[in-house]
Amino acid sequence: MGRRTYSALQARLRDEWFGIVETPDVWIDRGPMNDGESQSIRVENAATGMMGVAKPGPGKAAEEGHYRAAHEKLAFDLAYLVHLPVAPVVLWRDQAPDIYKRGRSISAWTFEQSLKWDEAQNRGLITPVLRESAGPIVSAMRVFHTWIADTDRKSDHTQVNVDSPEKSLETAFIDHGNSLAFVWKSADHPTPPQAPYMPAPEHSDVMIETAVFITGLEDGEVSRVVNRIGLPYLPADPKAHILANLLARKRNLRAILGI
Amino acid sequence: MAIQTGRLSLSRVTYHTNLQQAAGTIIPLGVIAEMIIGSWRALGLVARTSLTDRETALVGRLLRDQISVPFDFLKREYDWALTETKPGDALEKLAQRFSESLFFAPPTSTSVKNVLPTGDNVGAAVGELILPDLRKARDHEFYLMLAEDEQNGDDAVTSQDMLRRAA
Repeated sequence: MGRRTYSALQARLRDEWFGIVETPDVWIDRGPMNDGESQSIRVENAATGMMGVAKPGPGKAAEEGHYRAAHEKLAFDLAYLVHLPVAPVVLWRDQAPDIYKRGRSISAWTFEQSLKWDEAQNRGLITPVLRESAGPIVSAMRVFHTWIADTDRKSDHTQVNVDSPEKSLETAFIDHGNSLAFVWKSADHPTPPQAPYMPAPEHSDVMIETAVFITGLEDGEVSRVVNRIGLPYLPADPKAHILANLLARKRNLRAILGI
Repeated sequence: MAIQTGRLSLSRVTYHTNLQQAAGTIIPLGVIAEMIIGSWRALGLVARTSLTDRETALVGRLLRDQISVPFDFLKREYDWALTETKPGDALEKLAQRFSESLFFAPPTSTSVKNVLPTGDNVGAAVGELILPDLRKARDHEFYLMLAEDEQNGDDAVTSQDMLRRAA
């Protein structure tokens, strides 16, 4: 694994946000993102000027059974363990649980400049060479998304670095609110694999390598990542369902994917 | 003639050169406007004709060439909105598609009211009555955006607008 090279700043942020559950900082509302059903908003770190995206937004604040923020955080933390490019996420307790019943997450921008994959493709920016170069990451991510039951992915949940090198398209993956306990309603919930959804070539060797790597993760490490997410973000029952399914599926990923 | 009511919506279009930092340079590109009134829809675009060399250098490699003529760059999305969105939805849909470096701001809307001719073959007359309001609001928003971004206040601009029956 370890196919990514991040800027030093981004690498530090990933390490820092994997190391914590909640942000201790003050963040300022900078208005709606306007790009999804979670009604996320732009936020600015009051101390550093760093920008991020908080979800859910005000219109979804009262939801109690979706656990969007916890799912976003867990998707990043688990991807961090597998060295895959999910945008960094931290939890934000501000106004929770009074207004935001299950709290909020803040996602960082992976790149200084990005476009959704679909828009980059519509603009003709993704050349055949760049599309080919994205194949390994796309392949690895399909295995990862199958593991976390994020099985309704769309290509516009993939960000493209506008300043990618000439022959290597850099990508980051966002929007994992509908994974994990959104799908798993019991400790042993049968879930199909994520079907291929990205217009990039799949590499079966990379998929096998990724599945083997996930299978090799220590149960204790996965458990630690899940168990540190507490209330108000994630109640005990959905947390137990998440952990049980993650541990069971990581052992069977190749069979689930048929690889 | 009949009194018709409707809505005028405006959306600023900018390019964010550093999404990660609030202090990152934001390049103003243009303003897109949509008016729906009665059974009519009008869509307008005003945008810069070029970026400065400094601005162009700030744009990432993949987009640098395309965005160097902002009007041409945005005209494509204007055409898409005209043909692919329902009347009243254009700016909302564009804002949903472009929420990253290329940023269509969530639209701001105001109510409009006008006395318009009714019947067949009145398009030209309706256009004469409603397009000036659309252009005035659109261009005012555009020049306000440029004025707020002092360094770009004197760049050349161009515009296009189109009137269609919404129904």
